[in-house]
Amino acid sequence: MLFNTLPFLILLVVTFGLYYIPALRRLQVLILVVASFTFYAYSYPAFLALLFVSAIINTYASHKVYYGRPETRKLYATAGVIANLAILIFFKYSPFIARMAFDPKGDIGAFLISIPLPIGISFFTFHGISLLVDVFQKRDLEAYKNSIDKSIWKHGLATSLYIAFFPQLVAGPITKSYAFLPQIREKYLKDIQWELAFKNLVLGYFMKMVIADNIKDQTFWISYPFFQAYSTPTLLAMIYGYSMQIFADFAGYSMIALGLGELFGYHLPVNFKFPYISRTFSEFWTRWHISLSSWLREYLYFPLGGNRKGNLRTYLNLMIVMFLGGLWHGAAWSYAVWGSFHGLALAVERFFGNYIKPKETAVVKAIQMLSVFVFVTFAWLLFKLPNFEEAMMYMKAIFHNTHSGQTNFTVIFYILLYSIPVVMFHFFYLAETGIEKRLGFLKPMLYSLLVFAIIVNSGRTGSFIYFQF
Amino acid sequence: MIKKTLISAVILFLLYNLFLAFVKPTAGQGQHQWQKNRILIENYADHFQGCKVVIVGTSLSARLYNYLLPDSYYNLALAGESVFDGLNIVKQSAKKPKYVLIETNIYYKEPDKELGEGVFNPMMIQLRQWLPSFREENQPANLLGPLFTKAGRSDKSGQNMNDTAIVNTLLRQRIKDNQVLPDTNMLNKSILTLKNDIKELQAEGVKVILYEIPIHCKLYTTTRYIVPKRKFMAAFPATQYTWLPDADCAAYQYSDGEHMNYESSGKFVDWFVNQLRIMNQELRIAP
Repeated sequence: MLFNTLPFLILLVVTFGLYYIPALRRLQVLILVVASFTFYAYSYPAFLALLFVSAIINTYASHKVYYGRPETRKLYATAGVIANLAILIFFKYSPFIARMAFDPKGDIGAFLISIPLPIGISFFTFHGISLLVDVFQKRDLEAYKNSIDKSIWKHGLATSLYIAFFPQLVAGPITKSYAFLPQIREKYLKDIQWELAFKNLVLGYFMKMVIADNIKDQTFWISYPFFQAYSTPTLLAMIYGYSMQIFADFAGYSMIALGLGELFGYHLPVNFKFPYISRTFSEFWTRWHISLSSWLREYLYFPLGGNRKGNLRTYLNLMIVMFLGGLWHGAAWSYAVWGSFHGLALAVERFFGNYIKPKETAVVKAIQMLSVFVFVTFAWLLFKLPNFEEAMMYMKAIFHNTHSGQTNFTVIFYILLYSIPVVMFHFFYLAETGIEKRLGFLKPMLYSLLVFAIIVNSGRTGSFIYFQF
Repeated sequence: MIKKTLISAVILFLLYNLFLAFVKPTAGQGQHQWQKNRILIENYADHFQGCKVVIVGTSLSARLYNYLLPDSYYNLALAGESVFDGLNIVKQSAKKPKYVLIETNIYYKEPDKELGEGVFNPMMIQLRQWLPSFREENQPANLLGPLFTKAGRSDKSGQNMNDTAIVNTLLRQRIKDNQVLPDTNMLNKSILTLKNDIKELQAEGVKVILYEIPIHCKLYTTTRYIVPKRKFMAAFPATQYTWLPDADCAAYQYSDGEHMNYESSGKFVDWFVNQLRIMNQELRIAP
């Protein structure tokens, strides 16, 4: 179910109505769990069973970790993490493994390739792992004191809500269990931060429906074999457009998720913070998909030793984390290569960072920013063309078609037009103009323009890019 | 803030509709392929229902632009879509055309359920009539396009490929891709659906004429052309269905092997309309 469809609006209104009826207040968690399962089952009913199984495994294991005998806690935590990883690997990576290790036409190969990819599996399994690791390692945290209920039924409901809460179910943000579970309590209509919810929803829907959905139909031509016919300026414009599109699509989704969370009294973590102004790759990863990078840092990079075991080991850890982070996005070598590019960039940056300290002039800052943006933008090509060979052909066409191919001014014009709000969004933050304070009285006008654009200039509804991960 | 925002948005919306209704600005043809198709469909539903001749087909026929065709024709061939999308629009329309010309080259493609959605919904028709901003062509960005780019107004720049090397690469690729046969079930299903659609239209007094649009001559020897064509001819023989004669593929130029370039599209339209005139004289079946 997409956030920008009528069935979702109906589900939202009904859930919201029931949720705040005083007589049903004690059932609020159950109402949200039912709504979340309905949300998930609407398009993919068969996968509901998997979500259900995941909820049961994580409920049981985390309950045992918290309330079980001390000597068995580690066993349950480990078994639970393995179960989550097994689900993820089986459903997400079986076809990938089959193509490498088996004859795709043989019985085993064909079976593995036919396994469907349940939507949101990368997100809800990461929630499960977060719950088990945190309950094991941070059991003494104040946050858990009242959050892990002794009744396994109540804990089951809380766990189900944590992994399946519909605003974040299929594309995050990935919330840590110690940040989410303590928020589960009775909610009141008067506590809703309406303005915050409204701003996130309007900005999120604008990003998705006006920017991403419109650019999507211009960057469509990045597909093979169409791109071969275009000239270098068009090819460059399209790749720039895709960079804008993927940001607007995913940041838009995350903002909608935040806004929806607020409506039900849950504060979800901010997932994007003006990523395209980053001057270093490490800064980029503190601004882009923040919830994933902080998850990887906390549950993978630190356990691997982080930067505590010498320089070489740090570089290796960065590469491993980003390689796996790449594979998390999709079961294809192109995603692994994409992750490795970023890992390499982080390692190289860290290495040179030890020796070179450039002056912080405006020109240097601009060059740094542009370099990171160009690298990140070209790396997105591997998302759009997961077939590595096609991505290479695209790069080749950029260099070959300098004086040939079709220059499509319509494509270039609309990509530039729709990227203006994204650029402005970053620019105002970068310029630190304090524009929000000084022109605060214009805020309703600005948001009304966004609402107006959503009504009259939305693109064709498209699925969110991150749904496929 | 929320109240002020929503009130301002409603005022903007109403002002924009007044602007569209009274200023009647020139809209672009659409920002992208899907929108162009949607505009074609909305225009057909709102203004051209009941015109004499309707063409349905794929991107191959989409280049027979309406402004190249006689006034009594309307081209509902939709780029990137299937023959069935255009046919479904004709079937749904209250007033039927006298003739429907169906392109037969790529008949084995599923229709896009989303594309024509709601076009004939009475409420949407009213909304499009009274609030013109609900028409796809009136998106603000679509009004801006033609002001800034010639390409927003011209089909020519989008199709004429002057680099022979690229055209040859695309053609070679097309020949290679065309060695793969389309799914047989899909072919059979499409033929069956098309038969039913034709029967349905004929029952409503519509005369159906089948035609093939020329493609690069080298593509006629590929598996993807030969097998579907053989199946189609067996299902729709010239003895039972009215066919337009085949055009000479060598007489036209192609931007990618399959699609005719802008000049050739114009040339083909002349030939096409002329053939229908001849049929009219000889068989008294066409305008």
